[in-house]
Amino acid sequence: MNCRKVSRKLSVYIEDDLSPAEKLRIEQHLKDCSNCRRKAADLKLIVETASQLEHVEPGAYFVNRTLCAISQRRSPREILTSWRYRMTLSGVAFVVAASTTFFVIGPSATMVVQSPAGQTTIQAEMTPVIDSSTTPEKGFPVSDEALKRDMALSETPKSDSLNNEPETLPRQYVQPVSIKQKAKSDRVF
Amino acid sequence: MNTISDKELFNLVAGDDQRAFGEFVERYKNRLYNFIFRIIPEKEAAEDILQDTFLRVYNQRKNYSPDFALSTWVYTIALNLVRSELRKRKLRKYLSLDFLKEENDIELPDTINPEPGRLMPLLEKAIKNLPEEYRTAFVLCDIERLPYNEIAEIMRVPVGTVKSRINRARSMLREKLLPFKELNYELSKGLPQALCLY
Repeated sequence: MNCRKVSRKLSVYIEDDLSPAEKLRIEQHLKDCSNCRRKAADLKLIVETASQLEHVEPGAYFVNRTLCAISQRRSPREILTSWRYRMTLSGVAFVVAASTTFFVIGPSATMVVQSPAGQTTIQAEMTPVIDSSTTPEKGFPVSDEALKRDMALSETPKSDSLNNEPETLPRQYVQPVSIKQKAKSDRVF
Repeated sequence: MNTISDKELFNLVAGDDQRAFGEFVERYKNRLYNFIFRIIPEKEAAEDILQDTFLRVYNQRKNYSPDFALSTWVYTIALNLVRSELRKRKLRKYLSLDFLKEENDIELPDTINPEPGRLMPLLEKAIKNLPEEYRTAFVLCDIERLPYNEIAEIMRVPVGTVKSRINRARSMLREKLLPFKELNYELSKGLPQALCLY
């Protein structure tokens, strides 16, 4: 038997867990090999020391704490079959269904408004109205109307008189300029 | 209740007897805690894992098969929780880049004192530095004194693998403790005469 083979069996040898034949072969090797002999002695000492290591214990209140935790917590099966769990589950399902309906169909309700006279009632369907005139189409950052308006503004020839405003120009684009200011600007250019 | 066997006690636990479960916790808490603490040497973490072990045992009390030894079943649950905690820690360490730091190995003592009792703290430190599978096998065999077949069932590996892991663990511990021997801290010096092989 060589050192490598003996080294593999040394751990079992020191526990006396080998067959008599194997034990004899190892003992014969140990008589001749001081390295393996030292190793066997060291392993035995390690095993002896490990068995003498102090046994650590949990805190004094561990048992009470564990029993309290057990009385508070229930098994997954108990939780699944409990009445409260089923009620919670059905509540969550209702909320999910309601919110899905709201987002898919959209808000739609009939509002009843009473006139100040108190005689006539007005019914109004409250559905979201999408104003196509204000919403730009896909690919166009601005609406057609706004684009036309801007083009008209850029194409309008400069006129000397203030009264010569183009008809297509909306009111909000017209800057009120006084006659004095106009005269000043004419002198500069 | 103190005189009945573990299996009889657990039959009472399976029948929802709270007092029997209290007795069961009393019987197993110390050895399980010692086992968990040797793998994860932090008191609070070890207690949390021990509590989780008992909670899992209680939740699974109806599923226990009497074909297996009760202690094997309980140790297996504890080992699963320990491994799960180690995996979490490994991931946390990886995410926080702590794995780049080198782990502290055993520090050499300032003075070399050849007392036999001096070996114990060094051995404890050396056990902490073993890889998990070797540490578990060593702790179950040499500290908890469980037989090979039971360790094999707990670790879910063949008996031959258990034997080789224990042998490897002991050899690794010897290698870690050898520097002390080189510094005139001879391991075999502290050995009582009866323990000396030759």
